[in-house]
Amino acid sequence: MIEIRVDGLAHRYADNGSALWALRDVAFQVEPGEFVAIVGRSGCGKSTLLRILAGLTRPSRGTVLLGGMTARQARAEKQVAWMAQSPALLPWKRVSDNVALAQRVNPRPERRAPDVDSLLRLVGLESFAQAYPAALSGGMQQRAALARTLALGARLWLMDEPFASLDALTREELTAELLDLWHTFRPTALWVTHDIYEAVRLADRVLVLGSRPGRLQAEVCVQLPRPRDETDPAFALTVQQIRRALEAAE
Amino acid sequence: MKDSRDRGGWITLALILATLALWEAIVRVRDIPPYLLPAPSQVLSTLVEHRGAYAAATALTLAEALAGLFLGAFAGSLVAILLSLFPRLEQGVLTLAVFIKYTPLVAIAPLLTIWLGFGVLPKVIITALLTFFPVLVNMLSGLHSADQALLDTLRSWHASRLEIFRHVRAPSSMPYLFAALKVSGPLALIGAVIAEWTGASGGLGRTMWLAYTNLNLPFLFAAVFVLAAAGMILYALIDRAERRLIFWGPRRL
Ligand SMILES: Nc1ncnc2c1ncn2[C@@H]1O[C@H](COP(=O)(O)OP(=O)(O)OP(=O)(O)O)[C@@H](O)[C@H]1O
Ligand SMILES: [Mg+2]
Repeated sequence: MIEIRVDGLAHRYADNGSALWALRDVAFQVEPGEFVAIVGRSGCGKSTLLRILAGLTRPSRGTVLLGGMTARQARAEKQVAWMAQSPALLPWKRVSDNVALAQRVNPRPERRAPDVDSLLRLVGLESFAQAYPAALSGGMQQRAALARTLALGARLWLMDEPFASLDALTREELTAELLDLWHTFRPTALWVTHDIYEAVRLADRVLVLGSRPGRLQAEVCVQLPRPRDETDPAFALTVQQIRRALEAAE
Repeated sequence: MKDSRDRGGWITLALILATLALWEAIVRVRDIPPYLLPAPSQVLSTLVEHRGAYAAATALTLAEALAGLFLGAFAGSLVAILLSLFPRLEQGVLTLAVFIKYTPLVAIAPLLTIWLGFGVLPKVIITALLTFFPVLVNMLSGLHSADQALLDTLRSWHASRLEIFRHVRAPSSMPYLFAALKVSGPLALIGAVIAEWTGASGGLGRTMWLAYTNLNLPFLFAAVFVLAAAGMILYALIDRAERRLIFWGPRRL
């Protein structure tokens, strides 16, 4: 478990000379072990925010502290499991080798992490362990990438739309499995999604990002017991609340 | 896929046979003397008659070309890898490589023969020089071509440069290496022949030089035929190696 503190964060991509800020004045905190979803329109800076937290992009301004460490330090400690928006599987490695690679590179032998086989079973790819990524559908590749991210056994999850190319039923099944895993290992989670229902199903709190420049628009706490029932009127109410915040964010 | 490849092979063969038939017909109808243009049938009978000599010459030239190809590809890849690890050296080394590339082969080949004699070594060096540049340039773009999302994923695990090279950059560059080899393969063969032409104790270049100085055109044409066949064999070898080594996904180059 690790807490997130983001303060005065702003980012502008240097190569497009225009003074367009991808992120501006973003500040928030996430408690250790909290599950926070981030929603916002396309292009509002969600991926940028996650990349900064993962230590892949240096922000133009502001500070990021992950359990007291800078993003780079946390990365060096392999505390962060970042999942890219694209599956990013190595085409020359079998699915199981792709997943195992997350544990073999910069290894942390002392760490308690789920093993490769059980992760492949979790995402329903146990019979494709020996396949190469080219033989997998888009959604299957995304599930393999999810298994690989979980294999890190990291204390912080940074997931960029991990369910984007999955059908509704697979999403719901995976949601349940994933929450099980989250309960077992209790990482802090930041979960980017376009699906408001998914956000309410998973998160303790939902951050709504506005666009151009990306900034924090609203914050909605989800005070519903897990597992969550979508037919519950309180569920629908929370969804409504987020939806309105998103519409106001234009 | 396999079917269309087979059909392609048949079409090629048919085209070659048609060309030869036309050539034969023209030579016979117009009664062209063999010291100007020999008929394919005459070239073929020369080839069969001296098959032992041609086989030995081809083997030698192919061996020289292959050795140079390996050496040049190895050196080119090595330099490309070093440059990708130490990018600050890139500009200087590339300038030097361009200098080597634009030094005409026909100028170096006689020099090497004078210095190193009629043996195999100058031929191997020439073909290696010819291979070096395309492999260096292609491998460099190959190493830089790695998918950004893959690089980012490994960086997010704090992978070392060596791990990133081994798991991402090196495999990403393989199609580029083979593209370079396919260009260099025929070049290497020509390089070996030119080097032999400047003085050698054997090989197809030596055969051609002898035929040329004696104005024995059937002999010369037979060597050209064999050279073309050797080029095709070399290409097929490289192509097969590529298929075996780059087994993932669709072929990109
Ligand atoms: N590498 C880059 N160079 C320049 N500009 C970029 C780069 N990456 C993103 N941007 C810009 O930054 C802004 C935010 O992009 P980002 O990818 O963070 O959006 P997003 O919220 O993740 O969108 P989506 O929901 O479509 O994935 C966009 O306006 C985009 O044009
Ligand atoms: Mg995004």
